[in-house]
Amino acid sequence: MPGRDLPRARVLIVDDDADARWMTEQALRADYAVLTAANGVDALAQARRTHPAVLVVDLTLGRDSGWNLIRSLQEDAELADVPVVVLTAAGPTPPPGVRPCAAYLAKPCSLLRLRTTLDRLVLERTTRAPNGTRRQAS
Amino acid sequence: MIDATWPAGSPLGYVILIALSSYALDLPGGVVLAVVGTIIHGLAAPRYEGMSAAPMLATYLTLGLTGTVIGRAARRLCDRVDHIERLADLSRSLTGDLDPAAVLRRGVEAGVALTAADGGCVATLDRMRWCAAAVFAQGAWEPLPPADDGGTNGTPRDQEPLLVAVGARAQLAVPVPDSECALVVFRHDPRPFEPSCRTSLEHLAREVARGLRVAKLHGAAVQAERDKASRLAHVAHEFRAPLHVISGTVELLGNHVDELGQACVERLTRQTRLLVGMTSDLLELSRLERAAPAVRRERVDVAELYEQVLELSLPLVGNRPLRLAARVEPGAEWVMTDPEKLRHILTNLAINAVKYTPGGLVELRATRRDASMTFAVHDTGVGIPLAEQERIFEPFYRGAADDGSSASGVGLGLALAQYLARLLGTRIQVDSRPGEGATFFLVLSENLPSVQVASLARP
Repeated sequence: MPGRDLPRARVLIVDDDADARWMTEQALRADYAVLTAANGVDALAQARRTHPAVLVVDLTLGRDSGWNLIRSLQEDAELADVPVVVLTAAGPTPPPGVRPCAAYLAKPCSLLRLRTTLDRLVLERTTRAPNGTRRQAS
Repeated sequence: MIDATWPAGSPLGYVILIALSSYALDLPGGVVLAVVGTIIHGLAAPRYEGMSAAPMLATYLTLGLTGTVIGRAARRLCDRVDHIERLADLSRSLTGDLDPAAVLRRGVEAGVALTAADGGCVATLDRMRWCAAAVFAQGAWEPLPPADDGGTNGTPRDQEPLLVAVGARAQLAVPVPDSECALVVFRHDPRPFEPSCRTSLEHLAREVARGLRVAKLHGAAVQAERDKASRLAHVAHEFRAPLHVISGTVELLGNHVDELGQACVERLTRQTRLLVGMTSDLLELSRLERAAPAVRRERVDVAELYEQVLELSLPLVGNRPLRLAARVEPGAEWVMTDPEKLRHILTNLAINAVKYTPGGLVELRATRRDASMTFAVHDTGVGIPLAEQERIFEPFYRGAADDGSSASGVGLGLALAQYLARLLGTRIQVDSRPGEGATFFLVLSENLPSVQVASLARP
């Protein structure tokens, strides 16, 4: 697990359902530094402030769509390469102008699968440095 | 009495002879025949008991003309019967189409055929002007450019641009009841349409109106079906978010409970998965009804696939003495197909097998014969009566469980599996006898292209 060898990677969970946020946080907190946001505006602000290693974004954020947040992240020079896991009960097809995301998980999704996906993405990010050297996740 | 030695044998025979001739030759020919026949007979025949030639000729002329009139009437009657039969045939063809535009087009085609017109069109009233999008002439429909100018009387007869555009010099238009359309037929020469043409066209217009009503009802039924599927999909979709929280929380709970708690968690997990499966099937049904999805073609590891299928099916076994197994024969280790669709098919078949097998074995098998892969899901369950073996693939059909009650679920698993199998260019077959279990087969030929299926409602 990434948390054993390295400082705990930050994961930002974006979901408008408080129960879903709590559940995901409980499932991940042993291995990750978990941050949560209930809407796209708060999520973007937190992401700019904390530079998470990975984001888990629910596509339904109240009246807003998770795709808007993802588009904003992709347009932000500092956050564009942060992998995003899309957690959705709807179809995973990105709207025009949004690049494909790192992973798509259909709700309901087992916590084990979510953890495995996050572990893989964080590990890839940790080992993939621009100059070929190893770097740590945020 | 007339001399029996005459060629016609009797006045009645003579009338019949002339009538048949008149029927065959039409009115002028029949009259000529009657006159000529009378003259020949009158001159050649012997005098009848003192009757002079003049009354005799008059008698035969009268008889000949009577025969002509009868023949002509018979001819017209037969023509009328033919016409009515043709009208009936054409009318029947109008109600066979469920597309309103096609019904109107067929009405025009029938009108052109019945009225011996050169062409026809469907005229619609648009801002007090009759317009037509296409014209039927010489057995084909051609698009018609919009008319530049026109009158405002609201009838095709007065609407010059439309009639000029179609090259009409004689025309007949009949409104279709309960619609804003009219059937128009025209001729390129000024010969006017006979009154019977109007009668025929009016009859056709009534039939077209009936066809339009049927098409409208069908359209409403199809729309209602779509709305229902859409609402079902919405409900299923809304279920997924809370199901996600429930299943995740149960998963978390499993790490913090004692033995009894574990037993509870297992049951909660099992029931949650059933619920997840049902919502997934409902969503999938709605998705497939909207559009046939694209079919991918990838190398699929069969053992890995079976492992996933068993993992999904295992929680449904519960406490039953039921063993789940997989057997991949040498040569059947991989297959080129759409992995997601094959996994969905086999998972639905396996879950169905588990559901209907109180105890014993559910086994997934894979064998290869040249380019054909056979996937089989075998169980030792309750079996399926022959009469039900086709119906089990119908959407929302649910077979009876082993205790005679209706099994749980919404009855979509096998229907979806069969639909997905057709997308892969094959179909699921079943071999079963009541009480002796069942085996579902799926034969995938890697040489066969996959097919696109437009609608779930059209197997």
